[in-house]
Amino acid sequence: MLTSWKFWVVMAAIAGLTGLFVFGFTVNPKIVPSPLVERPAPGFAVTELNTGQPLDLESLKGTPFLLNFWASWCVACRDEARLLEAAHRRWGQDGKFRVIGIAVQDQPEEARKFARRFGKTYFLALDNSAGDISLNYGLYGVPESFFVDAQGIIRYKQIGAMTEQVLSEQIPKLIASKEQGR
Amino acid sequence: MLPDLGYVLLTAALAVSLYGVVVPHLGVARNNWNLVRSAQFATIVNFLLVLGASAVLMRSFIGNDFSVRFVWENSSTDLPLFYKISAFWGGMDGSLLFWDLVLAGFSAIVAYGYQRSNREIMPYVIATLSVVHVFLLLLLTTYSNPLATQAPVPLEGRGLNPLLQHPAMAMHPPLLYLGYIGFSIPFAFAIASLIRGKLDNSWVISTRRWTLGAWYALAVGQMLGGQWAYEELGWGGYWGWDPVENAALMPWLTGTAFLHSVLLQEKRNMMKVWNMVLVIVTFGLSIMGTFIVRSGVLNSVHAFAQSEVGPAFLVFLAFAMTVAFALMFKRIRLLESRHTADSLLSRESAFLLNNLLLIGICFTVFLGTVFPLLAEAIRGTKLSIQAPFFNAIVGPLGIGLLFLTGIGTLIAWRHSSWNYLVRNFRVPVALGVLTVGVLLALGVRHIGALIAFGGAVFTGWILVSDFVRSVRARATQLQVGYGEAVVGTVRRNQQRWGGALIHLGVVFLIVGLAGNWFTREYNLTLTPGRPVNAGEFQLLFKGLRSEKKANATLRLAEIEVYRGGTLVDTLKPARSFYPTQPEPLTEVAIHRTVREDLYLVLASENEGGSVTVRLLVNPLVMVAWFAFPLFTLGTAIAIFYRPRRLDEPVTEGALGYV
Amino acid sequence: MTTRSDATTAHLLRRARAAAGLLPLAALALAVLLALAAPSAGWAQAPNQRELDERVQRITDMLRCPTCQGISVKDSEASFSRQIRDKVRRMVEEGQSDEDIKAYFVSRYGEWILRAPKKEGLGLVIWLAPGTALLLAGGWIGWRVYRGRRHPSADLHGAPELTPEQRERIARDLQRFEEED
Repeated sequence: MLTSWKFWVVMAAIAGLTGLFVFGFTVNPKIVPSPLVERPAPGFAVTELNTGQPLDLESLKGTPFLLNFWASWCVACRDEARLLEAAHRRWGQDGKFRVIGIAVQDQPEEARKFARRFGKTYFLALDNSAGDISLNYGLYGVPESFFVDAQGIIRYKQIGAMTEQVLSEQIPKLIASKEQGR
Repeated sequence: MLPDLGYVLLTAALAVSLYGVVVPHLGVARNNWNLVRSAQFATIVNFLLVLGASAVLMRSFIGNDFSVRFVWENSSTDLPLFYKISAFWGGMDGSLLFWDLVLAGFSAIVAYGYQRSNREIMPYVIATLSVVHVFLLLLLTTYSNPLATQAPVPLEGRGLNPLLQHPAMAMHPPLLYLGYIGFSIPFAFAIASLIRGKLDNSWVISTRRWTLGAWYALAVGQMLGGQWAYEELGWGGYWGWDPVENAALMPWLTGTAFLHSVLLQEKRNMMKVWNMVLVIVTFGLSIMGTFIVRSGVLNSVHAFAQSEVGPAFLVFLAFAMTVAFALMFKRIRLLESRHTADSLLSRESAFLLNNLLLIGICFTVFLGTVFPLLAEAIRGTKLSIQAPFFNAIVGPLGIGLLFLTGIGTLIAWRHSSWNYLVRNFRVPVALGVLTVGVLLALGVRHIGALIAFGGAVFTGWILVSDFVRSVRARATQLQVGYGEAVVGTVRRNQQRWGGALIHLGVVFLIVGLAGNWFTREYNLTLTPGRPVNAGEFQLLFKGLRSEKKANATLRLAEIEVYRGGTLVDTLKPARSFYPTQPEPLTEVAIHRTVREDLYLVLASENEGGSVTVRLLVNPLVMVAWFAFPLFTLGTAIAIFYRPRRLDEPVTEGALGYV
Repeated sequence: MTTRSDATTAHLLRRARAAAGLLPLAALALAVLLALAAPSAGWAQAPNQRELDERVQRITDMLRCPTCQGISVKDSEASFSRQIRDKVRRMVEEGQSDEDIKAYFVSRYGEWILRAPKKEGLGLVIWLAPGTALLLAGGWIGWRVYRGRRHPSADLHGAPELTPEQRERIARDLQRFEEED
């Protein structure tokens, strides 16, 4: 039996399949890596939720930013709301970094209520009903956030609620990139 | 208090199962048949203990005992009794208990029912089945305890997901489990034969009825799952090639292959190694199926939360397959026969081709299910493999099987001469070609459909005319009426005619599936009072209203459907809003006829009072369902037979055996 | 007086005629049955609109609904799916090709958004694997059967052919057996 090559093929197949499933335990089927990372951020043009001030990708050239997609009906967005506001207060005050939030599949009044409830003071806008910006960014859930450097390249995508750790890891790097770019 | 008693019963059952693993081996080693008999008795004790624990759980469900966490998770006081009962096997822990209960019952039946015919291997059969018991009971007493209690006791349960409150979905898990468990019996016999080194055909013959019953249970279980998906999920189809669907399909495919190739073993002493492989793989796929459903490793509709049970199943799967195949290779000398089919044009070859196609389909399904994970392991990117892949490859193979079913029914054992082939296949081929011609004349251009319908007529004709011929012959020979001749013919060879009925069911199933090629879809916006055209139908939207149903609010649209001016039906598709669900559930409205289903989905309510609906015209769905009574009757005829008495004359061409 | 074989032949002929007689009727019945199943003519929409609809259906059937399990964008009522459907429709109306539209979504969501892998690279491997495996296995089985049929197989597999001496001995033994009775 031990000399039969067929036996060893079968054993190898069992081992291989088991190994594959063990690998399966280490990955999360719900997290899909984005092809937009290390690529230029897709363009967008929005107006601010309360003031109507316009903003587009072009005008952000030279400044790194965090683009956060959220919604008033999204439960996980509540978890990250205060973190994002804190990040804005810590890094976004002197123009070296911007935090931008775009609400998807949402109504203006609901979005404003949510923003007030969580004390959001950074730039907030609404995606149109066709979801052009969401689709352009390959969104398949909320919240999702994109970290973009000063040259307009997406460096990191966060799927799901933001964490303190990701913010403190990614933002200083982006700000440093701006300084290097000069 | 009672749940704790139930838990004690489970622990006791675990101890008894361990006894059942060890003692048979001891008994044989020491030539002490009393020890073996005690292990036999242990199977009954085991069953009673597990039955007791199950009764406790059932009582907890019926009595709304929310101190039991499993009951709290899957039931509520306002749940109808039928669903409280089915919640037993609906959730994971309970389903494992159900599995062990049925396995325990089957083990006891097998231990006593076959003790004379399979005396030599019975100790090992008991031991093998007990190993499975030990695995299940270990889980049931540790990670997956359905009788675990909680305090404080909540007043109300979490309730059952409304999507699952459907009769088909209530019966779907037990039937699938019956199938998996049913296939464990031939597997246990096979392992026992390998251990003992007794490798004649007795294990195959003894377990044939189990195999057939398990096949039927898996088939119907999957049909019920499809029916549920069709009626509840609202996307318009009944089979989505979801990993969990595939997980149940694969052992069914290998089980079907096994069912056929064991006939080759009995009749011509061929394929003994292959049959061993098939029965081991079928059992392995059953375990793998449960693993996929419960572990969350593959993205799926069923996606249960990742639990600790997953790794346990994986370990057991690897263990079982390694030991089983090692045993097989150890005894391979006793199994190999150099005998192969005598001719390419023979029933033996047809059986080989049958196995090839079935395993080909199984391989495709397996590949498609597992490949995304493999690609991620190799390349790190995620891939999707869904219906387009599976349909493209499995479709032609299925149609090949359709033709083969007909060919295999007529072709002779050993060798068929050309004359024989021409004589017998002339009429069915002609009919098949005629069908294709008629369809072409009617404007059908889809190649797959032409071949499928032609093949259906070809095979259907062969099956029916075969039977009619035999009945006629009997009626004439014995000078009896046709009614008596029918009964007599079937009685003479229940295996063959039961099989023929099942094959006819397969023909209907494939015709029904072929209808998918002709589905028409219309996305329409309807305003009240204004008729809208959709193909040959006109839809008239009458209005929306709200309804209260148990724990949900329904928004219901009333839509009249006309064809050529006459009212076909008034359909009421709706959307259900449950307080616990963020998105509303679709309640599809279906109008069924043999020719086609009208499948109407309420997509959205728009501002201004209009609605958007999705109308699917699905041809031939009911035809696929005709397979169900045919499968049932065919299986019943094939299973419930009495072996032929010695004084009955043998009919030429019968597949009879003793 | 008819002999037994005459009766059998006559009987067979009668059966054959009976079967042949059934043929046209059966064929007609089948034709009717299948005619009922054949797809009916669609309502005459403006052909362009119909084509566009079909293109949208075809494309959205190849994209997976990103928030569902196993369902296509075409079949799903989820909000993201509806937005993707509308976007596909706009792109089709702009005149973009099927390939361009699919490529756009792949560039945003990754290959994962396609319901079956592209037929290149690793994807090609999986598309070809089942067919190749079937052909190889079928070929091997066919070859073994073909090779096996050269040698007439004994019913008792592995049993050796009898030598003339053995045959003679058997004949003698049988003779003795019958005489001893």
